[in-house]
Amino acid sequence: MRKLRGFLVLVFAVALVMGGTALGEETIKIGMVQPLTGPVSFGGNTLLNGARLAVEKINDAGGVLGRKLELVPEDGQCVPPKSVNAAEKLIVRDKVSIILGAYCSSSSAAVKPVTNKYRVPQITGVSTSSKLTEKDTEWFFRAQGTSAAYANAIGPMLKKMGLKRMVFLVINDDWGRAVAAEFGRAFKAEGGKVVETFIFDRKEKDLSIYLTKARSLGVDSIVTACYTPHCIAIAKQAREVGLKAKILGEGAWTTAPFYRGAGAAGDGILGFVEYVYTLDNAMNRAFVAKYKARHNENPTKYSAAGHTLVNIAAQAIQRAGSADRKAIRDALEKTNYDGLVGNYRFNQVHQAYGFDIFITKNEGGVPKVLEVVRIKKP
Amino acid sequence: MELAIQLTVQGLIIGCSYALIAIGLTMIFGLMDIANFAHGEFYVLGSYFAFTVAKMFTLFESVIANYFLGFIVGTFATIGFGVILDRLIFKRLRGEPLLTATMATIGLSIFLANSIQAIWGHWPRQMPSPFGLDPFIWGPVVMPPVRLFVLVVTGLCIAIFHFLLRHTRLGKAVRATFQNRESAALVGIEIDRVYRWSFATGAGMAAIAGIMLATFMPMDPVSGGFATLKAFIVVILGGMGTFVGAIVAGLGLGVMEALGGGFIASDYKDGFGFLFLILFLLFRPQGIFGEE
Repeated sequence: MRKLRGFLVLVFAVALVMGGTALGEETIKIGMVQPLTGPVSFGGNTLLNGARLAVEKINDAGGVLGRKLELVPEDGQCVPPKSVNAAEKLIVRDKVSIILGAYCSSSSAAVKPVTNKYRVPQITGVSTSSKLTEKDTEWFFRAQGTSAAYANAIGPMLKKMGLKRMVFLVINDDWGRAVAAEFGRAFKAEGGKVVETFIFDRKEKDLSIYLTKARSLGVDSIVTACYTPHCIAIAKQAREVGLKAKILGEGAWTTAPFYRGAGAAGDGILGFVEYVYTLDNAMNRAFVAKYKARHNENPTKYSAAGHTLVNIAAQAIQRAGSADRKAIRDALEKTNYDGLVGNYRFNQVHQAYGFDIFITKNEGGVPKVLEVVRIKKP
Repeated sequence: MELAIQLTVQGLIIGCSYALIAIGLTMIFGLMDIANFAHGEFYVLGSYFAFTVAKMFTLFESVIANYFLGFIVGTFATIGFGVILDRLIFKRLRGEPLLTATMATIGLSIFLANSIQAIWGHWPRQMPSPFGLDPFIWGPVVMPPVRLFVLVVTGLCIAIFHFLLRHTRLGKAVRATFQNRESAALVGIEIDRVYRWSFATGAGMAAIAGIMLATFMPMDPVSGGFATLKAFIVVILGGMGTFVGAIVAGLGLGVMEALGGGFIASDYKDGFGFLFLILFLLFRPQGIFGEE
């Protein structure tokens, strides 16, 4: 009996050692649910680019816990059912340790119950709908501001600019509606008047009807939430209908395809953005240089988000000491990461704070920073 | 009131593109009894072929020259492509049960949309516009130059189409085939040739609509399905097989959407078309100009 037990212990020990060595060569899988095709694909792909740069830098320095990081991207297309499929595949088949995504608020909201069910940590770096961090955030983190936080930060500025009568022109999804709700609230609190809210479908490329009505209502500002194709349409069609109101909002106002598509019509538009490539700090200068060398254009705020997400995830894995999903989730709560736009920490509902957002004005195809606002602890 | 006038004008212009696409669909549906669900892809292909010539292989210095070269090449390239498709696919679908042909065209639509995406990429593109951005202002109406162009070109297309149909031998042959296919074949009309020209015209009209719209709206590879859907609504509302119906219903749909979206509810804008479709199917399924 003692001989058998000894033999079993030996076998077990050998198996453990062999298993341990095999694990040492295995990568840590980081799943990504991002829109790689479809109307938002530009953003999704630049996010992936930024994430890849971060992963390379970490792997070149030896990886995390002696293992290399492996990005596993899946195409969510900014469509909730497709994003759900992507997440399920990553969790069940690829067995990722963490999911970075989704991008659009509606898709992040759809993926949230999936990561909750399978108990996998999820961080979004782009979605701003406040609803996401109101409840059920056991496994969900947001390394990004919310429309509410932006509205609170920007509301006073709108008053300073002398704006009194506003319309909203937003896309028909959780993000667009959140922008209208939050900025409307903030604007009214400053004494402004919201005259009407126009909601357009994502397939709609001709927004001149709403711009025409805005013109006839005599408003001085239009607040928008749009993806690249619609931002281009709004910029051009606003000129076409002779609209003189100020255009401002969240969305793709500072991306390269927007500048290419809108041309001169894009000038003068104000954007609320989480990043500008012109930021002058050492980390960003290096990031921009590397990104430009690789992709022949400047990084976007989505590239910055990808970079931030990977770094926050990597640091959490390091802190957790393992690729175990629960350990990573617990470690994420202790995040204290200094990134491209400032410091990131999560509050008790896993909402990040401490970083900066920027109000930019398009001038000759370049985003000029008008103001910097720090996101305070919510 | 000013707003209503402006919105009506804008609706008419969008309606022009609906009308053009619907005329093409009517031709194919009315003549060949094939519900061509890939029709919207001609609209998309037109804009991408034009874009390739106008922006990717810029042969001239001036934007205007590149644009119009792109316009012409794009239209004819799509027509040529349509004729090839007719030979390869639609010829074999003639005489097949409607369901078979419909399934085939749905498959074709998916194949074409994905091919376009694979070839040209999925990020938004824009035709380089030779038109100024600042609009003409005529009383209550604000008319951007590019939209005036749409109005003019559509009018020309419809006029030319009408002339061809009424005053040429080929047009007569088309009308005869439309009325009664078997009799037309019996009197010696080359049905195959009629079909080919009709398909070409349908594809060409869709391409023209696509190129014009791409001048002020961003293009993407998957908008074909939406265009096909709108075209079917127009064809059914106007009366299947009538060209006048396609034109009137196309313009009407455009105006309805503009007024509905502007005055009633912006997020249900597309719903108005479907609402009218349901009402018509319930109370007057033959459409405005259709016969019982």
